[in-house]
Amino acid sequence: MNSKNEGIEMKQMIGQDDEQISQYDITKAAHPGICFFHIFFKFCAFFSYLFLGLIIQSTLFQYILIMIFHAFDFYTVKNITGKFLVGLRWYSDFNPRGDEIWRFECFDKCKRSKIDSSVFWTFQFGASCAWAFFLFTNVFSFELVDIMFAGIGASLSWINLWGFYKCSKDQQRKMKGVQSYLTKKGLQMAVQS
Amino acid sequence: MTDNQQVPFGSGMFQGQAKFVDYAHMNQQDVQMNTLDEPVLDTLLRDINMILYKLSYVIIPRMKETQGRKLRNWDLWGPLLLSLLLAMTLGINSNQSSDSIFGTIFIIMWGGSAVITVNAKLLGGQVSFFQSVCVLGYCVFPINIAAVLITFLQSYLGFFLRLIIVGAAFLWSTFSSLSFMSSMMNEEKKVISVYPIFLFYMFLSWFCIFI
Repeated sequence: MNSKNEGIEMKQMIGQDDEQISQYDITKAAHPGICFFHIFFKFCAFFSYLFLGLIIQSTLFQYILIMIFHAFDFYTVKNITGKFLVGLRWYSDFNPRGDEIWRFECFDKCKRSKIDSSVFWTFQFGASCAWAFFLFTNVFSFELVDIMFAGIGASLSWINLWGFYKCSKDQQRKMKGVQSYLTKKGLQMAVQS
Repeated sequence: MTDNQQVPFGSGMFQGQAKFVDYAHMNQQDVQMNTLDEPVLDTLLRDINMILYKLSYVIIPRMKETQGRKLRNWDLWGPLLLSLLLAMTLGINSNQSSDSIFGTIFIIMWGGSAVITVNAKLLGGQVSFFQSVCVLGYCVFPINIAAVLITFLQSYLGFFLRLIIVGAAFLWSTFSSLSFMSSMMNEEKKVISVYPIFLFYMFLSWFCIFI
């Protein structure tokens, strides 16, 4: 009886996935403005790293702008984008004794849009890989400044990715906990009936 | 609870038993608890206020421990902005290439803070890495003020006057950072923990005079 129930559940889930895949439309994202900023600061950081030398002659201001874009991207993804697009948050906190502890939280509010989360993860992972690629290719040229900025970009992106990955692992663990609780309840009800 | 309790794997839509879960209920003063739904502007304003509070703490260092509690909420925005500002003011009016100055100041500030923190931790201090980097970065603010003054009043200031301004800034920075750092250091090894801070600010002040 139960395997049949689970079979029906699996089919329903797969059917739902097919519907959702055809609905990846950015204009239907729950928070289009926040998606835009998520992409915008990453784009600014890459653009200024690659092309700002053609626009601004003074190298000092180029460097300052690149650093500012890196910092804005990190802050936006960590504090704003992660909270609104995927409902995850990570930060450091202090226990009453004064030691520092890191917290990884997820909040299961309903209506977490699939478009939002796919935008978030795609661009974060893509940007991290791109910065790692730039770092790797620049290591063999001896332009220390390029290495420094690619290195800073790569480390900030990967730190964010790691933080949110840890949050989402907790989330998946909780979902599996909810699932096993539900199947146990289902079993009990089946046994009782 | 219905039969079609669909709970897809991975990041998808959550249906049915949607509960608010948080792990942060232990800490009583957890500001984060109230910030889950706040609009973006509130987040930004709160962080800006924290930065300004810390800057005011640097200008008027308060020795009491209770006042220092708020400093424990470290953030690296202040050190970043101050390092960029310092590199900019020193780079504008210098003879050498400004990008090498930028690189030097940046690496000295961040690398120096990291080294001092690691030194303090190895000597048994009860200091969190990011807190200490944050405090050392914020305490560069007086040196920043001196650098800005020197850059804009360059023609009016003789060498001796510049020396006095930078010297005052150096003493102010060191005193501000000590009032926080000394509470975290090991009692017996205080001098050897504090000496690198002294060197760090002296190095940065040296840059202000001679570049």
